[in-house]
Amino acid sequence: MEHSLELTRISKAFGKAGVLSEIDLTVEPGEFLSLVGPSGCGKSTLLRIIAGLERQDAGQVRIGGRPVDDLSPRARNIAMVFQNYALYPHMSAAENIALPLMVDRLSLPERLPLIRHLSLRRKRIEAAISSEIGKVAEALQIEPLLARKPGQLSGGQRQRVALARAMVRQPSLFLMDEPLSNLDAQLRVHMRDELTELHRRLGATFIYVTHDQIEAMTMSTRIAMLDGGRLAQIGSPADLYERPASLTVARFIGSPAINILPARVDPQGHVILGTLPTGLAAPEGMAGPVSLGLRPEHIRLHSSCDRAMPMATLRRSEHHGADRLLHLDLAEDRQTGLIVRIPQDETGHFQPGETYGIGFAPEKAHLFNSSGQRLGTRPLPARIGAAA
Amino acid sequence: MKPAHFPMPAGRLLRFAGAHAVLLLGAAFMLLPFLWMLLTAVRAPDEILLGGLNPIPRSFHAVENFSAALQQAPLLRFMVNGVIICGGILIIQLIVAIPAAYALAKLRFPGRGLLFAAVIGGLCIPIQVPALPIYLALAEFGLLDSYFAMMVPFFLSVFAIFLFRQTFRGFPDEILQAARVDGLGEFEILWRIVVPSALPAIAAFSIFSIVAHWNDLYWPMIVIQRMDYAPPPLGMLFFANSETGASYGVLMAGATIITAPLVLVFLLARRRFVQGITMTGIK
Repeated sequence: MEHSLELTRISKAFGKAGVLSEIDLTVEPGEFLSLVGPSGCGKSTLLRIIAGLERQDAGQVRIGGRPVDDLSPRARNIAMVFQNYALYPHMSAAENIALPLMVDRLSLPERLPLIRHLSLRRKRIEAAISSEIGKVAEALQIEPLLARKPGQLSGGQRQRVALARAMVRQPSLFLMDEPLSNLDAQLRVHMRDELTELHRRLGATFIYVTHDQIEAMTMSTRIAMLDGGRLAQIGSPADLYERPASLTVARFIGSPAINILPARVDPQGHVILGTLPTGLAAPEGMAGPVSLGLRPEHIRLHSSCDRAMPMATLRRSEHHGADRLLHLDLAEDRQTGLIVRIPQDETGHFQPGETYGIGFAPEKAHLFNSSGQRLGTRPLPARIGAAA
Repeated sequence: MKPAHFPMPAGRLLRFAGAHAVLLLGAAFMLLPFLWMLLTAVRAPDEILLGGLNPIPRSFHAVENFSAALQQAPLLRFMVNGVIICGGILIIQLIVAIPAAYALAKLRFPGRGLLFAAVIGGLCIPIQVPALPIYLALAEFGLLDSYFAMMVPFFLSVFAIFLFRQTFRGFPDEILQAARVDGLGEFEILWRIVVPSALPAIAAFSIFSIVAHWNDLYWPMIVIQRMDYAPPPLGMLFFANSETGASYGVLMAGATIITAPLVLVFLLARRRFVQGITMTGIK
């Protein structure tokens, strides 16, 4: 039942405020695509446009190659899981799950009170529906909960019922709008696992909206990051982590966040941090201020006082189980904090108040111009301050 | 409130007693006329003007008064009329107000703000204002002296629209969107999803509506001449004028019979009623 999804030049504005502008996106059948971005970036609006709950101002949505712009949400054959689960409060879990099938298979008169008893085929259809509910409930292990109302279920259980309601229709697309954000941390990790497993088992196309980059990184086959209503980058989790297309993407993906250091390019094209060359060169013809991005795990600290290195003072050290996070202040200006991740078993004495030299491998560094776009870099043969 | 299992400190006890004294006084003030009605209904004619508030009548005259009331006036007829009128008004009010309130609360369309302002404006207009035009129109079409004439001005209740709109507004949009994705049309969403969760508000409004129209004297008095159509209060008025003159015992027995259904309805729906009013505005 997997279907592809294509968005071409989707734009949307609410009043005068532009929410989405010219989004182009293609999702292959069976993909798990996450839409991520800070709140207000338009990701939920985009999901609602795909669902047909919101109408785009311009552009086209195609599901399985077929334009669906004039189709109702129902006719698009999609299922959606909402942040607050959106279960019907006065119906039992079973009735919640049954509703989409009832609407699909029974005519309107057959769903009306009193009149529905006149239908001869209703009983048969309802029996078929209830056996399908049984199967879905078994798959999600919610059989004992079917008779309960949503108010009598815990958050995780409601989440499962909402998933069951989505699954039971065998939709061509699963749309999920931050479905895990109301769960506690432990349950969230568990449900992440379950969702990934569910995706693998169903083989269906998932579009998953989240503001939590960890969810996106761990579950998706690809991530599309939106920023200010534009598509900032689309690619595999590794792409976004290792080659962020902009400063915004670099900052958003990864935890702890990437270190961004102010640097500049001298007239020879060398990237200078403070007063020291970094061993990186910017593209031809580029000069002026740039930002240097360094992932916490790519920084090495050296206690030997080599003056050719940028220096930083250790503020505190955090124990994170397998890793240790070191918070430092860059010596040149105390404004710039620096986070370094080292394995717990790495030898070396890290004392708060001590000063360390900072080194990194130039090929691991990211360079962004003043408008936040990624720049290509080339390592220079002479590596100063970059002992690996 | 549950009684405390430990002695209350003096200050709290005093405040507790004070608050209840005020409440009791208020309750007494409201209930005294009803008590008087009940007492009068069970007293003998000579005792009515002398007996004061002594709760035990010297001679128990209830049977005579009540049977006289039931025999002399078509009380049952009045009450059937009341049921028809209140029921008819309420059903049409709900059929009109619920979809209107849903549209005002949850659908986006041009002119919504203006329409809602009109609803609020409508709240400020008492029935006395359009009474004359409506009367003239009914007279023109020969519809006076009918159930329809008594019901028509109340079919559209702006109060109901307002109350339901406030209730529906608190209903989560996500659930409506889920219903749309599941394939329900707007009307089906309304009666299958929204209305069931707004039952307390609907019950509260129903009581308001029934009480108001069961007790209404003003409008029936204008459009009804024949006793066959009279609702309870108008019936009592006819009855007081023509038959009983000054026999207050019988009159009060009739009033008791007429008031009883309302009190029963309220007692049965009391919990929902309070829920419905307090829930409005809270999600």
